[in-house]
Amino acid sequence: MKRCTVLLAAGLLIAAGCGNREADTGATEEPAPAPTATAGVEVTEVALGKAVGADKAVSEAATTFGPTDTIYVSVRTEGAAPSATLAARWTFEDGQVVDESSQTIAPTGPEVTEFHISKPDGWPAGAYEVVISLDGELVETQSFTVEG
Amino acid sequence: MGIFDRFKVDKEKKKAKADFSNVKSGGSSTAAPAEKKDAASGNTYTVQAGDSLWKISQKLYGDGNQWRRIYEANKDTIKDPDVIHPGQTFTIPAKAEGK
Repeated sequence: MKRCTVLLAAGLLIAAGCGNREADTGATEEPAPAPTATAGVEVTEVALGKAVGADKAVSEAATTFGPTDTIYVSVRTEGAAPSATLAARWTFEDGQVVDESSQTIAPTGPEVTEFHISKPDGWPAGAYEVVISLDGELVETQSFTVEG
Repeated sequence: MGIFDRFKVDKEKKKAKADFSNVKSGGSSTAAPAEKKDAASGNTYTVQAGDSLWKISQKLYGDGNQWRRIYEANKDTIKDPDVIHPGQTFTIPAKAEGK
């Protein structure tokens, strides 16, 4: 019996030791993430419209379009990176994909990137969305409508 | 409803969806395309936090050992190849042939 008690006490001590080690690990600070290529780039503005200027920014803002309009979305970014991928995913009503496109840019400061879509035989009337992502991460969703 | 009937209904539903197969899309940017800013085109590169000449060489040439090419091309701005600063802009020589 005495031997059992000693073994039990030893077992408890070992368990306590393991517990402490876990607590120590939990208290350890995680290393800071290494800087990534696009760490310095962020989307600061997304705008929809019917036209863009030479600076690629929307010159005629709109959220309602006609069936024959070309629909533009301009994405303003800040920061620099040797490579950053902006993507636009356009969807209709219940999520039907209208178009997806992306541009890989090398921004060196404030930049504007535009995406546009058109449909020769006219857009079906209804509600649409465009989702903008930067390096695969969703940054903004804008809704618009097409009126027949 | 049998499996074939269900298939037929699904097919009809798909037919009812709008047709976007002829959508034309495009885009442009004030920023240079990243593809053109590679080593082969002899371009510039702005140093980012955490960069070293080896890392830049690895990023642009796919070979960190070519860092000396960048150093040699920018000796006027790089005093010590071990010390570069975020924001510095380096000329990136064209990629060496055969590498």
